[in-house]
Amino acid sequence: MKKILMVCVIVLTAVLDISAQYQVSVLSATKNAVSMRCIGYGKKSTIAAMDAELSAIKTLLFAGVQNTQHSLPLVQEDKTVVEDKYKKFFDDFYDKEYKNFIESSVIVTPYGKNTLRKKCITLDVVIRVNQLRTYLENNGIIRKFGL
Amino acid sequence: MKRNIILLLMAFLSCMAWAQNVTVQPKIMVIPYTKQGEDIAQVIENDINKRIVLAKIREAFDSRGFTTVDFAAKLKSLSRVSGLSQDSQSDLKSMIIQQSGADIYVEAEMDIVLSSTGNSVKTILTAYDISTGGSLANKVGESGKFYTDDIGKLGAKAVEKVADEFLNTIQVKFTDVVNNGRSISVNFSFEQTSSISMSTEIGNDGLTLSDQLELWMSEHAYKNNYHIQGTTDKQMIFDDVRIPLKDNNGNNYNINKFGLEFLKFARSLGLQITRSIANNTLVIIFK
Repeated sequence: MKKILMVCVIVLTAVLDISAQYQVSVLSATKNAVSMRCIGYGKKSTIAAMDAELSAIKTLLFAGVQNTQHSLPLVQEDKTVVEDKYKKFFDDFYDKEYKNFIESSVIVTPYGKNTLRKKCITLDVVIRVNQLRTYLENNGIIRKFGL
Repeated sequence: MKRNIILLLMAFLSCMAWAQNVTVQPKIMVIPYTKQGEDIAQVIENDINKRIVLAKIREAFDSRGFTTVDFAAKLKSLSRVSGLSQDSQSDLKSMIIQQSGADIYVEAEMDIVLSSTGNSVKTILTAYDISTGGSLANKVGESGKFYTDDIGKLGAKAVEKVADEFLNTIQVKFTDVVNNGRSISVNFSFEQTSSISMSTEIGNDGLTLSDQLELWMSEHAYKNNYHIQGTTDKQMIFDDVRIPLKDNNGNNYNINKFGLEFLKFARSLGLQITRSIANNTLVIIFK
């Protein structure tokens, strides 16, 4: 029984990893906000929408948005290191706090199966980058400008 | 009783937090680009568009809670203190940079393109570390073409497009300083009348002076991070020595304190030295 459970956990982790990859493309960017088209996966539409929004947020946090003035990631440290270091913060942030920095989230392709028969949703998400940066600075996740 | 103890403890901890020293921030000054022989004061006085671009860059720093050194005010005060007219100063720009007390200066160049299909402005922003002369960040911003004669507005637009990225690049360098220490160079040499050289055995363990210096440096450079440019019998140059921003007690640490530590070490070996600091270089001369 234990072995089956272990296998289930490993399979589940692998599946979550796949869905956690950021499937985003940039639509536009200004000084204060970035608009991205994101695909999110999940068993329910709400979970898939959350996955899409988090993809946009995580792109800004850990990868940066190329060819915009937000090309450098907000967090300079390694993703796993920083998420581990500030575990409580990121648990809360990914759970609901991130929504404070989403200006708009509009459905482009409604929830349904894609060509690979995976359930997904496509959203156009606008993130308030400067507010997000200030929030991370105030919580000590990233350094304020300066030494 | 328990509550009182907890309250006291909390008050003590908050006092401790308050007592922690704030890191000394580098001073940044924004200046216009000038060609060889061009008077920087005249450039600023005569061109409102350049003043707008400079103001826009300063605004970007302000929006990140960082105050810059006011270049125009510095220019006026230095001209007044030096008692020289701006016309008589051959290299006013270098003088301002050296005497402003700034650690970093940002130079803004502006290129105006006028055409029948619309006007545009390009801005080139470059941040320099004054002590090393090294470039910290470079960005080119373009306003795009517009049917307008308001060059100042186009310049502001060009700056706005790259300001955040420019600041983020500088911040990457700042973070490196925080993590790996500030870079200084240390130059050891001898007075002409000195009876010792780098190959003289110093101390009780039979090591030469150059070996003693390297051992000391490996112990005192931040995270053992240092580089020797070269050693001769009369000179030893460490062109990159990292020193921390804070000491073990959380107090601000600087090149002068590093020199003081070396003075104590030299005295412990019975050596006499003179030390001076110029542009982030610690110069130690053995007597």
